[in-house]
Amino acid sequence: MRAYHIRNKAIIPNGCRLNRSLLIAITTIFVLITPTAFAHKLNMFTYIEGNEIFVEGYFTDGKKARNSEITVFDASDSELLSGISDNDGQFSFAIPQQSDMRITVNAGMGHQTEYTLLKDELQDEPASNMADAAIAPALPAKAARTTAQPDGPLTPVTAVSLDNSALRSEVQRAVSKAIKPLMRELSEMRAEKSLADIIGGIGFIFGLLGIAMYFKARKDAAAN
Amino acid sequence: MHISDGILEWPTLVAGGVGTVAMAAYTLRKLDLDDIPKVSVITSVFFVASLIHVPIGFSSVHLILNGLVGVVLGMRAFPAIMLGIILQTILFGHGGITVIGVNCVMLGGGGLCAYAVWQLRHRFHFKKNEMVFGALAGATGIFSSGIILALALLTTGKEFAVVAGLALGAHIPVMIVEGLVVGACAAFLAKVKPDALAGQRPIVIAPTDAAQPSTTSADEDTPK
Repeated sequence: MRAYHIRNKAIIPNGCRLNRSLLIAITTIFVLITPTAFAHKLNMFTYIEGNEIFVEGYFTDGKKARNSEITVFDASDSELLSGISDNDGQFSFAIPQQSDMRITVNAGMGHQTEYTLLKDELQDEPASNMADAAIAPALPAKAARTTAQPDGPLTPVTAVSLDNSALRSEVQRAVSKAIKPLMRELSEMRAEKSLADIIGGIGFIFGLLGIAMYFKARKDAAAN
Repeated sequence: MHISDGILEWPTLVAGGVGTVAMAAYTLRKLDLDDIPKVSVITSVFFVASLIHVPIGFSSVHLILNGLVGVVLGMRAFPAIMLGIILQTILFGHGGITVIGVNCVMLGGGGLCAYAVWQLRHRFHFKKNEMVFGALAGATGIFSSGIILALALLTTGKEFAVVAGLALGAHIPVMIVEGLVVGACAAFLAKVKPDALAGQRPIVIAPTDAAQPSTTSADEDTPK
């Protein structure tokens, strides 16, 4: 064993060239591997369009969670329906019930994520009809006030003549279409890790082990 | 390679938690005051490594480096990996809070297996055996973690048996990459700072080492 270390030591003086080439090799490895994307965390994106719920699973490196098992549970954790995502990691189904639902995406090999869709997020028709009834008297009055002020003669006829529920669903569709990219970006942003998290984590490691070192040192000092 | 929340049944989760506590209690006894700075640096490396992506074909893999932790820290690899996993879970959302125990056994156990392989180098005397055994240890770390992952997934039901087999296959590229990285790191450290590696006999015996010869040298020199 002693000879083993002597050999090691003997190499060091003339091993500088080897050291440099090793250093270059390690640097090359770390340059070749691009630290652009983050780890393989599975994320999901859920949105409601009309009477359907769309689910999309994707990994943080941008890969879609294709052929993943998507399962929908109701509030009491019994399975409502399940399916397999397509090649874009997407799956859609008609809204099965008007209450809270838990949607899970399982991409295999221990990757799973879930999202709880609350009742409020579902635009249930009966409820919205009731809301329509409440809003209906207020809406024309409001429209009348705002449109009448700039140019007096304009009557609120246009607003009133439109079917309220048709208008409502039209607006809902337009809004959900417009905010879809925003929702997607938001959920992607939430999934991404910031540099602050990385630095913070390293800080935690040094801090926690620093505390361990402090107590260990005190214990050792007390023992001596 | 982290298992997410909601996949494993509670007996597996409890077993993972108990295993983690037992292994942490056993390995933490071997933590000396002088080791703590080294442990914190390597824990930080492990913590960040899973964010580094290596593109392979259409897919990409990320480094895990539990083998490197085993090669450098020896038995202390387990607490280091445990701390790294806890922070990865809290800050990056890798895996899940309930699965921390199983994930620690999976990756920490892989680190300990890597250390066992690394220690086998004392049996063989040839040039650059640090590089060869470092590479083997790096690949072993992933391989044994893959086996533990497969076992954990097998407990969830028969349909996972296929997936568990796939899990090992999917990690073959990771094994190769980790083998290269850990082999290069081990060879580099062996040249530049051999006493930074685990289970290396200290070249200059410090007075503190002489005081406790049984804990520092005897335990580490015997291959596991």
